[in-house]
Amino acid sequence: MTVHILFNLCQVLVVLLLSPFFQGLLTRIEERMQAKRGPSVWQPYYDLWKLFHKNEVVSAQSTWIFRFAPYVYFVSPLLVTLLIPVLTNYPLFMAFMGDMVAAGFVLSAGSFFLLLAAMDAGTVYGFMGASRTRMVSSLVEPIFIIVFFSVSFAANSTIPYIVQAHWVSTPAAFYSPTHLLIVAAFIMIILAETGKIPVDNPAGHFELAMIDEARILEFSGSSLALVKWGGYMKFMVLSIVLLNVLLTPWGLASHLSGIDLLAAIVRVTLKVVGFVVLVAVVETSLAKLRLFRIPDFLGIAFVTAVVAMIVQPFHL
Amino acid sequence: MDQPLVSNHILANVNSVVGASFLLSAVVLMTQRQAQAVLQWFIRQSILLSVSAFILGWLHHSAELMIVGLITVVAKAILIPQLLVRTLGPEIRSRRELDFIVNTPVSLLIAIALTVLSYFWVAPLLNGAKETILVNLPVGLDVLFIGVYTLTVRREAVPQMLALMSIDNGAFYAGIAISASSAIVELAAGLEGVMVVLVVAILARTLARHVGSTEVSELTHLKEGLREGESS
Repeated sequence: MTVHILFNLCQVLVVLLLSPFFQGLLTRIEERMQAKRGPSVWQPYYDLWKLFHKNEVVSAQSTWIFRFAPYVYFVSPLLVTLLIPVLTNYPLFMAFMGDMVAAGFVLSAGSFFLLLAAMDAGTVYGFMGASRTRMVSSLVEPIFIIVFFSVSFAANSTIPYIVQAHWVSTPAAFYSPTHLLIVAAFIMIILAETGKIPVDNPAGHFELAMIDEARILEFSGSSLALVKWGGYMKFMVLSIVLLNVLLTPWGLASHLSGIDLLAAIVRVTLKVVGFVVLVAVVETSLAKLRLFRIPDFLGIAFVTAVVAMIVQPFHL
Repeated sequence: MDQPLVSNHILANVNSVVGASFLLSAVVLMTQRQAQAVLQWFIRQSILLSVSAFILGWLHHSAELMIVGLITVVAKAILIPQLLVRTLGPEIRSRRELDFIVNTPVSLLIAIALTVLSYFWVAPLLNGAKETILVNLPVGLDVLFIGVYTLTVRREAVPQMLALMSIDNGAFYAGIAISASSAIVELAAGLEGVMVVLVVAILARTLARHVGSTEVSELTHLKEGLREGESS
């Protein structure tokens, strides 16, 4: 029991400490692909360090939500790591507290509070960012639900650990079209939810075109650091769900030993690095969609998820 | 005897994955707004079709299916795109966004409905069928439907023609699974496809030269000059 709790803490620590690295890596690879030098891979750590040592400015008009929201946004990906297989393929202490739907709820609770905080400060851009992120998320929501439906059709469960074991144990299901389509839809969801390029431009500084970034314009100091860190962790948690549960469910620790856990950390890191390279390729090769083209992009994701569900009963 | 069976099983699975991508390519082809993107997705779709033909040829030990795959690659992935780019270079490469009669979200919903329908209609035939038929028949039928739909909602000559060829792809995709079709037939169909593309491409080029675009919906007037006569 104690070992399980310890391992769970390890999972949380891995997500907490490695997530800025992947963000830095993503920026670095993208800049390299565009033939620029780019900032160091460790730049997000420096940024967080700097922000935590700065004073915070809070509008006198804002309420407690503005102070409270960054903490919720920061904690929600960490809660999700308790539910998903980050390092081990056997369920840990809290694995059965919730399934993938619960993970989705926890993540969206975080973004909900950030949204409230963005509107709380009363700036125009905050409102605009809030309404745009809501538009994207409201389109992403049905895709999430359909993906969960298809997964539960295929694996007879939505508990991430059981789903992961299902893909490992039945290669026939792993190579089925359902699985491929679910993965494709989930990648599109990740791009949309974490504000990556076909939907949003994370490097853009033009307020009128911002979607995700416009929500955090009002934050400063440690609140901004928490929000940024939460964003990094959200990306890492979603990619870990994709990699460890759906796309490559191998390479996790299968024994209750520390060495196995360390090896798993290395393997999972390599997998996420691979996914980061993929995202970098997508981000550099595509252009940002116009706001009113986003429903088209997510519509394709929706069709993909629905087709995955329709096709499933024919491949048992 | 066990080893080949295992690899056959994996091949059938790969065929399923190819089927899923084939279906997806038809949906994406339907939503693309630039002529060049439509052409690229058509090439991808044709390559997926030929991969499926190769796999089925290997599984059923049929040399003819292999030839069908080869003809598909040559005719649809190389010859037709080359022909189009040669005859209508600037029209294909233009970055202009093409129009639809129906907007994209509605089209996507209709595509879902067509998918459900094609599975629904094919379902009675699938009882106890082989795994390859289980994939190819409904997917082929669905791509055929989506192709017909794309053909009706597109206003431009080039995407319409590619939708027509995508219908052809869908029909062949279903066909290669249910019958050991003769390579002669596919050779004839492949050549016919090339001919159709050639004729339509030349037509479209003439159209572009006279009207200034390949938008088919412009063709409601008999003469260019008539429009001014009507308005004045």
